[in-house]
Amino acid sequence: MNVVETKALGRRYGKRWALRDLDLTVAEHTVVGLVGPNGAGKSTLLHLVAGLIDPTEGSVNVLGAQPGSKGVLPDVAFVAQDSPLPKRPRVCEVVAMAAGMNVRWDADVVSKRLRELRVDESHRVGELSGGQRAQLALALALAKRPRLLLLDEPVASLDPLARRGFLQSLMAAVADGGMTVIFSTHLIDDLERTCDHLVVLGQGTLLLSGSLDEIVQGHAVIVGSPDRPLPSGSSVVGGYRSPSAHQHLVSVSAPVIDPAWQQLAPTLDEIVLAHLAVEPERRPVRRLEVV
Amino acid sequence: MLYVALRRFRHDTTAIAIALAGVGLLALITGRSMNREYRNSGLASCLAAQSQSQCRDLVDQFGEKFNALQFLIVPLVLLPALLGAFIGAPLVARELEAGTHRFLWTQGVTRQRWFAYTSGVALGAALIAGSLYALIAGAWLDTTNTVTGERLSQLYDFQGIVPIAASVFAVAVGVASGVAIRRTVPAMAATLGIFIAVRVSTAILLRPRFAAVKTIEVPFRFGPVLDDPLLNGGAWVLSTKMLDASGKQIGHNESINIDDFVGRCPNIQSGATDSLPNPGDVNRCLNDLGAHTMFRYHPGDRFWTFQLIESALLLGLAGVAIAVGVTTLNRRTA
Amino acid sequence: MIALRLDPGSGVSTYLQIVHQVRQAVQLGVLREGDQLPTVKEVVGALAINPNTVLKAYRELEHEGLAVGRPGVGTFITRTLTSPSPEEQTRLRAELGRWVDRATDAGLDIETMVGLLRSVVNQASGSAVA
Repeated sequence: MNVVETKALGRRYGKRWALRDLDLTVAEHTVVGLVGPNGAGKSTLLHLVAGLIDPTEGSVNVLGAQPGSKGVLPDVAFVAQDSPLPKRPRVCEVVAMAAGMNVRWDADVVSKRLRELRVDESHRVGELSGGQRAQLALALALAKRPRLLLLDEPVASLDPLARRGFLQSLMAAVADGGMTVIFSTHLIDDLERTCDHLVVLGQGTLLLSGSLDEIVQGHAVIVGSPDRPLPSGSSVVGGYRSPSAHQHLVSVSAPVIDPAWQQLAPTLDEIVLAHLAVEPERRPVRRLEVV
Repeated sequence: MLYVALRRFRHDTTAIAIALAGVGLLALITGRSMNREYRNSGLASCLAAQSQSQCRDLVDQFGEKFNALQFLIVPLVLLPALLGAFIGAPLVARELEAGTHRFLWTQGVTRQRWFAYTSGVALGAALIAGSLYALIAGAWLDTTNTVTGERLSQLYDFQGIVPIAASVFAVAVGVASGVAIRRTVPAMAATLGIFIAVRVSTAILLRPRFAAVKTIEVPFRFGPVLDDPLLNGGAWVLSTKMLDASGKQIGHNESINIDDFVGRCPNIQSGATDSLPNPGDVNRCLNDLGAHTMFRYHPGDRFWTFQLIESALLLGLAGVAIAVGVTTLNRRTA
Repeated sequence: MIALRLDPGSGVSTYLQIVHQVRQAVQLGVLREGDQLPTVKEVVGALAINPNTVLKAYRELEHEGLAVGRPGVGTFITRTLTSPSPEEQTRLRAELGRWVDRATDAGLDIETMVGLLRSVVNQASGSAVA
């Protein structure tokens, strides 16, 4: 079953298209990393899926219904960028507030997490550190027992220690099962260990999507003489910063078997960066599916 | 959800309660002293037996003594506007500004539901605060109403049910401004602006037309006015004109210049600039001319009718404002 | 029980790193038959990695016959691996030595040779898994 399905989805702010012509499906129980530079449309996509904004064109479907509608809201949790929580109230008050706004609420999740983090519930939210606030926002999101968890740059503003703590909590929650996660980040480091699927956005369009294995196996760095024809079934990804004219990053449909070209395994970083660096006009239209 | 909405206004409720308690205490103290003066000075017994004009000296004396209390009117005028600006406007704008709407509107309840509850509690708070305010002001103005007979005119806005409707209206406008403008301080300014514009234009343009204006013509006499039938009934006088028998205006408003009609009455000595004409001569002349004063007014007993009409109008506008807020909120621009 | 660790810069996918580490631990005798592997939640909590990756690694180990999962209990080592005999190791080393000589004759420098070896090994382990 698909948790998220978008068709020709687009969202415009004024004259600028933040997201355009996006066809994407996200299957149940996957952890999807949403990558791209700032302004790529990551936040816009997450806001559309969370039902905070309406699409300008196309459609988005979450758990079989319109995002933000009454039937879907209890099943979707959203931790927005920089975890915006009311700052003035005390921690326990924000917890009570969130509990009051949800039908399904697992109070143990929050109290357990706060105890582990040694957060004093009588402190005001504004007094917490960035890491503690992010963890509180995550705990509040997880207490909903959501089927879909959306996180917008959850670790961007955290120090390495807080980042690790956050990802540990997140991954532990995923291990409990039953949850699909989509989180955006511009840190590629975290992706490989935390995600099983990847969606790469650039300037509001989909550049690449698929499972991590598919993506890695679907690419190769080939080394060989520049005047030879490329191995059959492969096409060069233009944005690759090749150390020499003899080396290309290619997308392949099958492992390269061509004596003229030596094949090396590319890293995920290399693949993502190569796709992000392709200039828009040279960009092939790709509509892969996250299955 | 109701608990969440109620909890949200804890601090606001405290602030309103303190403000109302302060105003109430002040009203209680000054009200008692006004009451004492009213009875002890003989004004009460005078007004019970005689007309307003006949007790003029005592009325003036009373007015002079409590003139300074006019300053109390200022917070009374401002209270509904402040409710709108400080409770209504930040309701949604503050969340949008801080980005916390992303937290609030992605919980288990729809944003419509969240809005219904929070704005419902805010409007309820306005209703209660407005009612308390109307009760305090009504009690405080009770004596003043009798003494001045200005319940339908100068003191109209501070008593009855209009303050309640005005408070609800102000909060509704505040909420809608917050949704539409999305920033707290500009929304507060817009709330004050809209509130004042609506209240002032209603008072000037609409209120005089709430019912058919009555007119009364009183023969004009030179000398002290012994009895004013309008003043006693607490009428709201819209205009006063001096006319001659043909209906032509003489003089301007309530004052006339003797020179204006000196030529038309041969029995008044002209040219005697250093001495005033004989009042008997003038009155004979005025009588000959058929001079009379025409008052256009609303009788004082229309107070509750006017209050009902104006309250309905304000509550209708409050409904429009809330509808605008809901529509804008549903557009999901953020 | 063993503590798993990750080397993010290695270029080897996370699940393969787990597979390799467990296999190595069995080969070195750190893990013996009947020993329990850390639960998925423990690994996830320690390494902040996707639980599906751990599951995939454990499935791979089961596929190799090195471990068996008992639902609701955990994953356990089922056999003990022995390292190749010293003679076998000597023979492999000599073969590789001959290959290096041939590569040197062909003009390959050390970096290229290591790269080539790594690519072949990766390809072999990749196709063995896939």
